[in-house]
Amino acid sequence: MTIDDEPAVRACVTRATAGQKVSRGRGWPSAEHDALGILWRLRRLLPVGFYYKIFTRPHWLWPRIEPLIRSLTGLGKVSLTASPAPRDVISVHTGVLIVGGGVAGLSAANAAVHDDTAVFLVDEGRIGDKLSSPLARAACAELHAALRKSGSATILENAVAIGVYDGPLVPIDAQDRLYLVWPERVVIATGAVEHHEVFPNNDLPGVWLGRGAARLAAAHKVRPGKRAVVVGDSDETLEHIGVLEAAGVEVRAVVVSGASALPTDVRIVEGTVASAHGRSSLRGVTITSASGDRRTIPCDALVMSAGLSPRDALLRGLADPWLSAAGDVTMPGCTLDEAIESGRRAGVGFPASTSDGRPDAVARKTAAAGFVCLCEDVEIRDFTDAWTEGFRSTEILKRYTTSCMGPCQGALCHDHLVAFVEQNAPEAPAFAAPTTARPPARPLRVEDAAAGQRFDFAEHTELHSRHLSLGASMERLGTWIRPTSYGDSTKEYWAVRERVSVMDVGTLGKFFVGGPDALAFLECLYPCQVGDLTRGRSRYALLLNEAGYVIDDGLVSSCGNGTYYLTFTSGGASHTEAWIRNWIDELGLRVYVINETAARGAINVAGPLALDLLQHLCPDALETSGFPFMQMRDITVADVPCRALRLGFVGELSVELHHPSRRSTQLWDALLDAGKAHGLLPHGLDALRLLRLEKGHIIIGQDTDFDSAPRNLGLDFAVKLEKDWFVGRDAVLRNRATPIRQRLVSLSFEGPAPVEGSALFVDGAHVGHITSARTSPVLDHGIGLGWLRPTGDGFPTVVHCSEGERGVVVSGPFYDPRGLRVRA
Amino acid sequence: LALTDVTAELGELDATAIVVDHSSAFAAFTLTGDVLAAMSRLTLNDSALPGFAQGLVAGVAAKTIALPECVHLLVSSTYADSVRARILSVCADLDVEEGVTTARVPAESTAVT
Repeated sequence: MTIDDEPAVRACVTRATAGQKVSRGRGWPSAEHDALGILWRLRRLLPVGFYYKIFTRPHWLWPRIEPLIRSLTGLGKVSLTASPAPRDVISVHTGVLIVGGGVAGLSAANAAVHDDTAVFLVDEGRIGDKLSSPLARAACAELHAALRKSGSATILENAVAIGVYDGPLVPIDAQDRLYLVWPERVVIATGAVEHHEVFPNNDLPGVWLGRGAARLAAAHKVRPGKRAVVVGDSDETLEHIGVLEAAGVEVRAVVVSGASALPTDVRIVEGTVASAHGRSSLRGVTITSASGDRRTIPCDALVMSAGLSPRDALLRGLADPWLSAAGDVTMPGCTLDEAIESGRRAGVGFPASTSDGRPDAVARKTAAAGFVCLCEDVEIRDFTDAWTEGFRSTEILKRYTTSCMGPCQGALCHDHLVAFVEQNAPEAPAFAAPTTARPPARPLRVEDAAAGQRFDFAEHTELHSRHLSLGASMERLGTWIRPTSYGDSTKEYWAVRERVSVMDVGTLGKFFVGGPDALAFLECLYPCQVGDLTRGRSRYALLLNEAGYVIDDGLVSSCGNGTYYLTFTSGGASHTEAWIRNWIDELGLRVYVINETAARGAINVAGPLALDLLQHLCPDALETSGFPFMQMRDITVADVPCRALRLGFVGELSVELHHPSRRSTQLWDALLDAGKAHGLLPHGLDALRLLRLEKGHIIIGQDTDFDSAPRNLGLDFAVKLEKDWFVGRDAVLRNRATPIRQRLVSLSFEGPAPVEGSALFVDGAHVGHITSARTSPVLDHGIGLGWLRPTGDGFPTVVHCSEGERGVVVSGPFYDPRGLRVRA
Repeated sequence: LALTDVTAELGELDATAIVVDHSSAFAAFTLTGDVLAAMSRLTLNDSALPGFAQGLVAGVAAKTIALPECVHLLVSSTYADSVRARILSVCADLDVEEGVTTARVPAESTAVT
């Protein structure tokens, strides 16, 4: 059924609530009057595996026919617009988890409580709801009351155990949330289900399993029919008859397989069900006696009570000492006293025994026709066809026919599958082994499996609220939320180029490194020289992997006394930390590393007036001669202690102020306040991307690929092969000995910049692509970076983009190629 | 002053040791009330036992100090907004209320009861 736009809901176990929108599956023109029901008459032409056999050739056919077939299946339609409901996870650590709130489960819970064990009990319905026998309901109510009175148990109703995993871990689907239960012990008390018999038309509405019919009549006060035929001769059959009659159902006959002394006034008929009759619902049932006589009894309900199969999907395949079982699941058909006693034993930790009372599958006979698996529409003839085709064991029959793979996961058909194989291959009992039951034991929504995962985590700098109050548009970059622009990125650009600007760069990876082997380690980590850095000097550094490819870049600065301050890209910080710590372990060096990414905020003050602005807020002298390019100093700005680094990523004089992050707002406010006199505007990522591109600086991940070596990027200056060893050195040497296959180049365009990502061509041949492109305000034409492959004449010097833009390969930065402005 | 003292004392034991003020790196949250129910919504860890633990809480790496009357959470300050939102969201059915910052926790902390 489709319930509230959710298709394929198991309506038989879903609680009805007010306002629910319930509809049947699809049909044409309607589910009630389905013209496509004609396909049922053509079923002989549609054997199991039909689609895979018929539509394999030609290859183009299946993709075209599949949507049509799926539209005819009668299943509901998945809404493409409905948003999945976010589900939360609750983690529960408990002493014992009991799955099943029947008599055995409640008995186990009470025993565990008396044993001072914390109890978590779950039931897929409401406690006691499934029981139709007055005696069982009374026992259940008594045990339930005792458990509630104890106050030591958590009882969760309408919750389904998905599976039992090692740990043990048992996920529980409680509709609106997923419980992850981590118990010390697990007790399975999931009961048993009555045998689903196979005979022609056994899928007609009106054919009931006894417990279902009795529950409907006793618990929900709904008559399953007016005139019923009951099949079975057990004590439970008698209980069902009593419940049905009490509900006003006329029980017309009881069908028993042999001579029976069933104490009932109802007419007893010896025989077995040969077939059911009816078109859209049950109209009668034909009984065949042992002598072959057939008689038809009119009825609108056929209630099957012909023995029990354990609901052991959570148990099968497990033999762990923390696992116990109780009640019908281990002893199908056990008495109330036996259920209580087995529950008591399981509750205090006696192991499971699934062999006790397990029905003998050999004794079951498969019929000639009828549905075996009602979930997957598998008939007995499908088994026969598959057997003929060579699928001759329970496991491969299951896979080929998909029996046991529906929502009930074999609860109804598994015994028939086993019996069919035993009957057809009595000489090979191994072929008839029970199939492996794997979680999930119950259907699980994808949104349930994703419970707890739909929360959007993001990192904010301490200045996040300041950006929002300035009206910044924000974007997600990795895990960070950063300002794209404060309204006009062109004005922000010119503020950097002509006056002064600030940018929040607190997202940069920041590490402090020390220890006796710090220098030795950094010489191994970086391809550049580190040992010659005097106190306060900084150097651009690449981070290479063992293959010699660039994985990150940043700065290494000497803090004196054998300590160093490292910076990395915003997106690379967490990976880089793991990389650094791994190499420290690998090399066996004594190095201390502190990740200061969160502890330190950073504000870049950039522009020709940057030092003037800072001087207003800093008591120390900041003239350029005493604070040159690529120098690091400890200064105080607006009473905030700062580690200041003279850099030039944006191509102008810049000072990055690294400071305790809890004082970021104090520093930011002071800079913006003092900067008013200098025409300061903060700039965001949009302006930054243009500024750095004019300078020809790469962004790792945007301009680089996973196999970008320093030589390909034009960054050989950052690799000192005269060093004895560093990570990636051998690969760099190998790389240099081979012809260069591609190169990142600077491209100048006569007009506006092409679209980033544009393909590059020479005489119509594809030679590369653009990684970054912008129209430069200061140059008044398009510029870009892009990867080029050599043609027969070497690397091309002129290329064309897919939209026709003509690009010329140029060398060096587009802006301030001699670096005079950053060194000013 | 504390940093200076620690640096001096540690320096006598290990001249190469690093001492830094890392307090800005963390945001602290204090959970009071039905702490076990709240923690069961925030972490897979068993929070019933008092003591110090590390692991994922509210989806981020966290240090927890469980006391009989409350649980202190320490998370990266960069995730403070996300963790606060997560606590208020998943504990909504517990009628969570955001309390005032107390002097017992660092200034950037949020107390949740």
